[in-house]
Amino acid sequence: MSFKVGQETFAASVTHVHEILELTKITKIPHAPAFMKGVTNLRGTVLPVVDTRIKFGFPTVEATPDTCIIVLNITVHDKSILVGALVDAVIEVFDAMADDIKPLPSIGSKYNTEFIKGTIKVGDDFILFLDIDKVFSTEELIQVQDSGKD
Amino acid sequence: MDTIHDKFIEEAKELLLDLEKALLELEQTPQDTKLIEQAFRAMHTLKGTSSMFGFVKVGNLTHDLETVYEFIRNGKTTFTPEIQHVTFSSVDLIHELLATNDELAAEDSPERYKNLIEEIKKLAGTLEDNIPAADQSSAVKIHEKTAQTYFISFRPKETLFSRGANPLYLIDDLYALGKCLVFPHFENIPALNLLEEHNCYLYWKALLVTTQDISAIKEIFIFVEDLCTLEVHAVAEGDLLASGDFTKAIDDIFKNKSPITLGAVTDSIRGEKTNAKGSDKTKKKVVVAKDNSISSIRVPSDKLDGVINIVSELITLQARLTLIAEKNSDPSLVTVTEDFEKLLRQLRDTSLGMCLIPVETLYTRFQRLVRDLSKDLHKDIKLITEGGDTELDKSIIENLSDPILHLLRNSIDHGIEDTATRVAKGKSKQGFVRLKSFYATGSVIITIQDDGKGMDSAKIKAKAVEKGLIQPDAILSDKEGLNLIFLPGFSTAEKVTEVSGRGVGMDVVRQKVEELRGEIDIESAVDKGTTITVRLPLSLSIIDGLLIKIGDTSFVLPLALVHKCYEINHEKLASAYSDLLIIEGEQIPYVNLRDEFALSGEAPAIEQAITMEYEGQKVAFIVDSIVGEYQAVLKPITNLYKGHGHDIVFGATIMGDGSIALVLDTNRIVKQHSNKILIKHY
Repeated sequence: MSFKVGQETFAASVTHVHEILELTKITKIPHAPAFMKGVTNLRGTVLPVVDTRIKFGFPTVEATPDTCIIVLNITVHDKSILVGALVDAVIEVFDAMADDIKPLPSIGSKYNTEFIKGTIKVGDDFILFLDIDKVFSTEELIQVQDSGKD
Repeated sequence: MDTIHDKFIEEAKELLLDLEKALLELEQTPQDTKLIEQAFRAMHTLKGTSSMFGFVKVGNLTHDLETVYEFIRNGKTTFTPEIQHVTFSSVDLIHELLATNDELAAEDSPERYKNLIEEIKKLAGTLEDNIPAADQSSAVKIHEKTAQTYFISFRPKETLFSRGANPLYLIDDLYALGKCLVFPHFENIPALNLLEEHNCYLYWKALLVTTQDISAIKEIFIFVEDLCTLEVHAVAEGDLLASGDFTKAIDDIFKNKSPITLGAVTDSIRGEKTNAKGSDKTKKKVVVAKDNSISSIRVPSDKLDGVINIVSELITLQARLTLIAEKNSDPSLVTVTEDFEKLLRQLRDTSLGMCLIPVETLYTRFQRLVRDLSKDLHKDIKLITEGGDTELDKSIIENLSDPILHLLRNSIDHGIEDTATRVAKGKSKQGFVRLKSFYATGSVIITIQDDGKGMDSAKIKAKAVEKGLIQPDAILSDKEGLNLIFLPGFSTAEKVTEVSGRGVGMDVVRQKVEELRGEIDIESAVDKGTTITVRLPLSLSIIDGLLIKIGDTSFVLPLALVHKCYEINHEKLASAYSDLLIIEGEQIPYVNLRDEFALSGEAPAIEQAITMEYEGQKVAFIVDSIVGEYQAVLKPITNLYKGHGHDIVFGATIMGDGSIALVLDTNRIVKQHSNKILIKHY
């Protein structure tokens, strides 16, 4: 499934996607890291919501009608938990063959390759295919752009 | 087949626990007949049922042991340390056998087994010839219990055999309880061509004279409870079978192929009585002992969890209902919802109470450990337990067992000195470890205190520097020094013993305690002793709270800790120099939650100060407004990112309108707040 964060498009394996929610009331948790937007009520369970823009180091923008929360099922420390990811838009669900996933060139790329499984060609564009478990289980902000490492 | 098997293992473990408990107490009071009875009964039941389930070795061990205890009961011998030692070793081996399905799996097990059997046989053999003359003076006086005659009707279901039960063993057990007259009935056996060889067609009627009470009889049939129809009735005081007339009467009934029913038996008794006694006796109805209602039932814990879940959902639903009732102006609806809330609160308390178990269950395990360990280390240590009836949620108890075990081991291994050192220091020869549990507003506190050599915080700091865990020039208070032992990889033991010294202990203990949302604290004085305090929340799932608002965010404060609420002028707070409020003549430190949580918005002109308990002192929390009391069903917040403010929150609760309120751990907030202030001032 592909989705937009800031100006960039990313893809995640649809097996990780639990459901998609409209932007709901999010309750802030005091002293939480900046990318932890808070928690929201998902039919009786408390779902933590991560602001993906902040997590990827993009500037925050105002919410649009397209803004939504993707509920992801991730595995952290051998436990499977639900996390909500606040994204700017969901684009589509598409099929990709294993061969379509090309490894990322390790030099000269803007992005930190740890969290990226590869790139997928959709139409004329290359979309970054994320390793969702890794992306949402770390505590650090993900340097999607390797700034200053040249 | 599996569930019955598992049930047997569970019950066998409980029997072993009972046995161990009796043994430990017998060490102190070897003459106590009740304890001997308890030990004997446990072994007897274990013997009977283990054979039934194929645990032959367990059966063998208990068989002769039971004989030994029978001798103690009869006064042929007393409870000697030798018997105790053998019994303890057997208990350990039986635990192993239960775990390995009666296989002697460990390397040394076959030998231990052989040795134990020999020892027990020797004890039983020698005791057989032992004339009680030698110990006559201290011989145990068996309580003269009056015998009662019981009528037992045992009708197994046809499927009895398929579960591996042999009814003849059960009948044997009946004989073991006393004089018995048994009548087997064969009428139900069908014609040969219809006979299913795996089915049980027989049933039995029996008359038993025993000094045991009705529960002992029922215990015999405990494992086939659901596979038969069992009736046990006390029909008379005294030994009816001694009466020739009575036995003849019953025999006649049997010979005439009339059913031996309870009615028939009682009639015969009545007939007996009219012959022997006066007229008023005949009017007396035969006492059919109603078995006293079962005082407790085993319930699988997932059923209990299911009930708690439903109660939690009910509470959330009730919150919504209350909201609707408030908006709706129908007064009768409001009254009904209020009553509903009250009832639900009771239901909540009762069902949460069901999940609570007294810590006593842990204590017995620990007694054994202390005893064995102190013997191994040649130290004289006594374990004092207090507050065994303090109740904790069962899941907390299970998770606490290991950490407390570790802490006890530490006290025994590192804390308490050996006898020589103690005498040299002028201490008593016997050291003690005191394990105490008690309640304190909203929490359960467990303390482990020893009078050993205590911990030297200077030494600990030195060791930490040596291991590179802290900087050499780091300045730490005594308390902080002591807390260094919680760092992973820390241990000041000079050599690694089998018991401890590997340095993997204390940090795991702290982790486990924190997982239970508890806290652990150490206090120590060199040569005086050490006290470790573990503080745990009472309930994991539903707490009484006070709903408050700051801006448009709602929070819940634990009601148990709330003292009083006051109105405060915002002006007063803003101009205060120190973080102290003067309320009712007292100086109370306060925490401004809006600032603490960096919430946006302006504070209202009149704010609320809520004074709460914090470790024996009062601390005030400043909020915008108080909504009211609220039953918070705690929903855990997945701890994705450790140590990022999640620890000041017990969890979240979903309110009537679907929004979320965070349930605050006020103790942690005060702790964090005061740490910040210390930093500020230096």
